[in-house]
Amino acid sequence: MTTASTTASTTASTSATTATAHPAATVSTATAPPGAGTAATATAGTGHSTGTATASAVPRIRLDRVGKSYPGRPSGRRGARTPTVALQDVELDVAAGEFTVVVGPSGCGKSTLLDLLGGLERPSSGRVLLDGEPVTGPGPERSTVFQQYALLPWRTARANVEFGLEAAGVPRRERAARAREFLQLVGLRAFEDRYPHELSGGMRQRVAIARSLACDPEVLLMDEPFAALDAQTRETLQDELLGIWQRTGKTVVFITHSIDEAVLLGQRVAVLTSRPGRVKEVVDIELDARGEPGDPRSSARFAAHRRQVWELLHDEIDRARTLEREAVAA
Amino acid sequence: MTTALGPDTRPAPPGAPGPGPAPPPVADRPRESTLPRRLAAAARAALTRTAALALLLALWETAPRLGLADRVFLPPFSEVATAWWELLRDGRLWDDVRASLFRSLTGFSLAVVVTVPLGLLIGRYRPVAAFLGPLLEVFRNTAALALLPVFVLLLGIGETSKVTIVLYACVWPVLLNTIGAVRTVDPTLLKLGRSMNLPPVRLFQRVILPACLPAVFTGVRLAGASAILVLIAAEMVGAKAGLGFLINNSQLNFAIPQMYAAILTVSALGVGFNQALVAVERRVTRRTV
Ligand SMILES: Nc1ncnc2c1ncn2[C@@H]1O[C@H](COP(=O)(O)OP(=O)(O)OP(=O)(O)O)[C@@H](O)[C@H]1O
Ligand SMILES: [Mg+2]
Repeated sequence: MTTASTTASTTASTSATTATAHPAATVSTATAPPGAGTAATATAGTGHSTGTATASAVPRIRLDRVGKSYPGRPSGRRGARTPTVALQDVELDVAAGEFTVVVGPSGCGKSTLLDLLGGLERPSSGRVLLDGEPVTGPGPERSTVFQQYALLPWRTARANVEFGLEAAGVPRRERAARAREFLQLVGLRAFEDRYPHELSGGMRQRVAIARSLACDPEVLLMDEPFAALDAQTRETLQDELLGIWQRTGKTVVFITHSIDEAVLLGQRVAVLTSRPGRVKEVVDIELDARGEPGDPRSSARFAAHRRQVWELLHDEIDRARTLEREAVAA
Repeated sequence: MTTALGPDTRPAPPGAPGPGPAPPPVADRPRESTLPRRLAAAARAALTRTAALALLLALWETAPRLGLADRVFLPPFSEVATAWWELLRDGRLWDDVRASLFRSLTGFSLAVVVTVPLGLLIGRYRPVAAFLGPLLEVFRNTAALALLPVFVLLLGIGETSKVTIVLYACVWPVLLNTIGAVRTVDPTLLKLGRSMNLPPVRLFQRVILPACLPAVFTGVRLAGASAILVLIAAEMVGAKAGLGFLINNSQLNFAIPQMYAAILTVSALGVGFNQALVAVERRVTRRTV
């Protein structure tokens, strides 16, 4: 829990500064005169629109003209290798403590993007920066919920959650307690001794979520983490995730296919184009009632944002279909 | 690959909890109500498993007596059992079993100890696996028994050549299965391991090794089967002790019931060996959890 308290206290101190200082000077501290703060931040961000919540001169995550292509299989008579371009010129900044959702047509490179952020893949071009430093590999401050869950089939649910803690060097006794706590959180306390093959798809997904959350990373990378869940469980976990995010000030990059989920969870929703993926547009979401009682889904703002993202996305999905048909025909 | 194995010898699913307690929600129920039911279930299972065997023995007993088979070449089972008892009493059977066991276990153990690490290493390095692949395929398809004359030429007819031929027969299934297992470890698990920043040794110990175990054990059990198979054949060709020798010698001396007794012993040995390996597999897979 040490990381959590540190992060929490950082957030607390940030907000304390915000409260006492001039409202406009959210980040650029004492050195900048009040009122000039916003301008300074804008220039430091080299023209990118940075996060709204806690804008920072150095974003926690910056994707700088990132491209990623995979070597293709030899295809056709001549055995030509045409590489698959998964991502091209992706520009995206994520401020510390920001909840960013990424949506895009299937196969546009969302998981690839997360692998790049996780340090599991290297970009073919451009730079992936974490706190201003190029990402060279995985690190304990980041944790990923993989799209395919990636549970170890020879370990029980609890042992799977403990796996991440083992790697982080958490002592044995604390591991068990922490694993139970997070299994409880995802509603699987009664299933802690089951093996993955004895769990349903949604349960497996929840174990994977518990594993990532238990590690208490500063940056949480989630690849369609609620895709396999029923509506009720999904809502519960969405609330839990928002709660954790608000309490701990984690930076979250969250991939989903659900527009509702994107608008509900994200402070910003990045819409990617069909392959090769680029950032088509980043939509700032402003819901009045975030975290307050009452269903935010019923508000007019929600509907407007929903419509906006839907339109951006549907053009791309249509385009992806057309491209695919052409590829098959060729 | 597993078609040669009996229905109850399939590898348990990785980390299968075995006949453990019932799922958590009902764990606190009193034991008495479930115990008799479980005993009955066990008895029924035992019955189904032995029924086919019993049927075979009954057929074996009656067919020669009814004249359906030549009594000289296929004596009734009871006569074979008597012969087996005689062999056991005068200690000859034990001598031969011991000789065969020593040879097969030595060759088999050496093969496993050397080959599993080798296979893990080769499988981990794709170019090495690609380089050695065809060679291994050739060796595997060179029947061990075809090489027996070569081994005899090089190593004489003593123990060494017999242990060596067992070793040879055991190496290939273990090696190929191990290499295959390492190469087909679920890539998402490897990704997980890397994302957790596991150092290579840990990754190997915590992810690759447990993921490979089932396939490695399939190879080991195949090796166990061929260890006995090859050894018996080798002993029939040239030996002064061992079950293969006993079978051959009985046939030459026209001691037909004794020959069948020896054959049955070989079968029992094979089954027992396989069961032992399955038990070891269970323990090992459970310990890596
Ligand atoms: N290891 C790989 N080798 C080759 N090509 C790959 C690899 N991983 C991904 N790709 C290709 O990159 C493209 C993007 O894949 P990615 O998994 O990132 O899509 P996605 O946006 O996550 O899709 P989905 O929404 O269906 O999960 C796809 O065309 C895919 O075929
Ligand atoms: Mg994906």
